Amino acid sequence: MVSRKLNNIIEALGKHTDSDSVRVLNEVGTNCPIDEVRELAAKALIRKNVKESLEIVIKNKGKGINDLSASVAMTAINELLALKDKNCANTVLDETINSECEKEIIDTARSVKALMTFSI
Amino acid sequence: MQKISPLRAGLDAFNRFKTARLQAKTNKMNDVNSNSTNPFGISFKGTMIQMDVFESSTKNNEVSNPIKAGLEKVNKFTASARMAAMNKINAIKENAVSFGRKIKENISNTYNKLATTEVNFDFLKNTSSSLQKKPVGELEDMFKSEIAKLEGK
Repeated sequence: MVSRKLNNIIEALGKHTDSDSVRVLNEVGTNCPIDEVRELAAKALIRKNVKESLEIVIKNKGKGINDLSASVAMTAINELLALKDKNCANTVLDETINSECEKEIIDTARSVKALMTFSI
Repeated sequence: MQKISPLRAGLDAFNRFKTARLQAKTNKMNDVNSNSTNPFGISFKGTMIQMDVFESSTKNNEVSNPIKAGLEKVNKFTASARMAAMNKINAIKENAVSFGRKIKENISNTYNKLATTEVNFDFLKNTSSSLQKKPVGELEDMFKSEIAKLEGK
């Protein structure tokens, strides 16, 4: 169970104006062996809604929507669908689908893109 | 002259003593209940109830005055109301006392708890809005130490 303090730290990093917070969330949060921490870090990165943070949770294997933990992946997808402004997320998803990434990553991005289209 | 045997004389004396004793007892009881109209001698908390609250068996045979009957009814009603009120007041008094005792115990328990509890306002320092004002480097260190704590558990 993640402590209240840890929860607040991740939330503060998600709301921080310094772009270095994205690096911290990526390096420390999404690489953490604890599922709950990865889940919170993915949520914070998606809520930032900037290209750099969204690329981390969409394009990287084992992070965000491609996480091996179903709960982390589902939370990330849910958070993407809950975004008010989906333009940036759609751009990153399109880039991922048209890129030469691994087939699994492209397939996941395509599925999420379809969900995003239906959810509008 | 009649000859009296000692056995018969003893029996007569006993009978006389018994009669006298019974008479004395009856007189005493009549003295005690001379002012009472309560035929059954019912007492309430050790005090004899003086008022006759029972229906008289000869009542129907008497040609009663309606005003007198009404007054009797009012008297009986007042007596029963007084008894009910006394019981109610006693119950309220007991409840109030037990409530007061309970409050006193609660207050003393709370005081003891407060005396032994250390109030800590650390949680106010670590709200997300206050953490947001800190530099990212500091947050990174805090993040790492918290994860280390979690992994150590």
